Amino acid sequence: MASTSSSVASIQQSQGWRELFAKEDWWAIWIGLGLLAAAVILFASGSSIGWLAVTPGKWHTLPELGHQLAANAGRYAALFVLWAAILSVAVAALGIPVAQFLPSFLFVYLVSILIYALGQWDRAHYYNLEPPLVALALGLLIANTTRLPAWLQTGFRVEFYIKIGIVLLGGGLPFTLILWAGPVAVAQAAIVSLATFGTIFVVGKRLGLDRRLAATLGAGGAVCGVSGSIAIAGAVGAKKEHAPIAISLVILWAIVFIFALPLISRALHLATGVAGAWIGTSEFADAAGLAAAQTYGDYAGHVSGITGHADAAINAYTLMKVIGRDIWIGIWALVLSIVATTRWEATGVESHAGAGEIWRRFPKFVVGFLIASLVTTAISHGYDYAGYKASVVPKLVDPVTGLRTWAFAFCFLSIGLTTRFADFAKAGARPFYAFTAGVVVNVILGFILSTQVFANFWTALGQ
Amino acid sequence: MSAGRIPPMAFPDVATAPRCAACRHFDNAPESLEGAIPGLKVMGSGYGAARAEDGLCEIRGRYLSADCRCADFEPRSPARLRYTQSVKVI
Repeated sequence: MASTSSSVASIQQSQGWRELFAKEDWWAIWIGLGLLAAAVILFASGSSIGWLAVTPGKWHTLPELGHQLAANAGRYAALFVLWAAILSVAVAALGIPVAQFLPSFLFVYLVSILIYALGQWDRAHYYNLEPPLVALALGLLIANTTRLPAWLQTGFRVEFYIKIGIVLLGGGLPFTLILWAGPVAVAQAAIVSLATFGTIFVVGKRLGLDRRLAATLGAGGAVCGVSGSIAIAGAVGAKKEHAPIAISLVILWAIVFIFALPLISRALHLATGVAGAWIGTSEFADAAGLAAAQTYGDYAGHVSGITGHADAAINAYTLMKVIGRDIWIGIWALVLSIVATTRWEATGVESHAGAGEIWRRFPKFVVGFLIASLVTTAISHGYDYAGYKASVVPKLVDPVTGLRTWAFAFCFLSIGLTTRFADFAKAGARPFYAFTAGVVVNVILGFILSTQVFANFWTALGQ
Repeated sequence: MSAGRIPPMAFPDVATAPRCAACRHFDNAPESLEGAIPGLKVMGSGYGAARAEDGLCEIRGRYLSADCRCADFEPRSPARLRYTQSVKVI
C-alpha cells in the first residue's frame, strides 16, 4: 500500500505543448493553416499556389481525359509529394507507422484522382456520378467484398482528412458570414439537438435501456455522430459495449442519409443553402454530412429548379454542423457527467468532471477553421469587388478550394473503405428503435426549421 | 491480467486512488481503441480531441474518463504512459 501510495505523489498532471502534437485536431490546424500560409505568402509575392493545387478539368471523351492527365502528370506527382510529406509528419507524431501509411495513402490518392476526374465528365450529372457518392459506393464495394490487408488500411483516416478540409474551407468562407449566420445556426441546431437527444433518451429509457447507453445513443444522434457517442460514453462511464452499439447505429443512418438527403432535397428543388442547412441539422457525422452537402452543391447549375450557388450547400452545412452542433460537445459531456455521477446508479468509479472538460473535448480544428476565415477575410478587405474577383479568387481562394476538395475526396473514399458492415457491433432491436425514434424527430424538425422557419435566411445565404 | 491477481480494494478510500490514466487496467492508446471499438475509425477517430484521454477499463468493463478513480487501481509501467499525454511520471 505504501509503495502504491507513493506512486500517487509521483504522478502529476502536466498541461502543455505536448497536446498540440498529440491529437489529429491540432495537426489538422497545423496542416490546414500551413497550406493557407503558403498560399498567402505566394499570393502576396505576386505568385500563386495554383500550380500545385491541380484539379481535373472538364472532359468529354476518354482520350481527352488521358491527354489532360498526362499533360499535368508532373503537377499531380508534386501534389502527391506535398500531401504525403505533410501527412507523414503528422501521422508519425501520432504514432501511426509511416511505412504503412505512405503506400496506403498512395492508393487513396490515385483512386481519388480517378473519382475526381469521373466527376468532371460532362455526362457525369446525367448518370448521377457525383464524386462523393461514387467514392462512397466504390469504397463500400471494396471494403465489403474483399479483405484488405491491415497495412493498406493505415491511410484511411476519415476524420483527419475531413478536419484538414474544414480548416481549408474556412479559407473560403468570409468571417462576416460566420458572424451573420452563426447565431441562427446555433439556435436551429440547439432546438433539434435537444429534441433529438430527449427523444432518444426517453424512448430508450421506456424500452428499458441502461441510462448510460441511452445517453450515448442520444449524443450520437443529437451532437456529432461517432465523436459525440464516444465522448459521452467516456463522460458518463458507459459499459464497453455501449459505444460500439451507438456507433453502429450512427454509421448506419449516416450512410442512408448521405444518399437520401440530397435525393429528397433534389426532388423538392430545395435551394442549396436550405438543403445544406437541413443536411447540417439532420446528418450525424461531419464526414457523411459533407459528402451529402457537396453532392447537393454539385447539382447547382446542372439540375433545373435548384437555385443558389454550389458552395452555399457546404457553407450552410458547415455553419450548422460545426458551429451549431460540434463545438458544444464539451458542454454536453460536462452536464451528462455530472448527471451520471449525481443521479444515476453508482458504478464503483468516481468521476471528477470539471469545467476543463469543455476545452478538453472541444473539437480544436474549429479554431483553425475560424483563423483561416479571418485571414482570408482580412486579405480580401483591401480589395474592391472587381479586384477580389480578378485577383484574390483565382490566385488564392480557388487554389485553397482545390486543396480542400482533395482533402474531402480522400475522406469520402476512406468512409467507404473503412465501412465493413460485418465488423460492426450488433445493436439489437431496442437501441435501434430508440435511435430511430430520434432520427425521425431530427429529420422532420430539421426539415421544418430549414425549409419553413428559417427558409428565407438559408436561401439568402446562397444568393 | 487475470482478475485473480488484483489486490482486493487496493484503495479502499477511492478518493486517495490515482487517476485511471495511470492504471495498468486502463487502455487509452488510440490504435488499440480503434481496434476494440468497431466503427470508431469509420466516421470518428481514436486520435480526435472529443475523445480526450478516455479509455477502456478491463476490470470494470467500462469506457471511462482518464480522470476517474476506483478502488482497483494498480500503477502501470512508465512506458505505457506514453499514450496518456497529460500525465507524466516524475
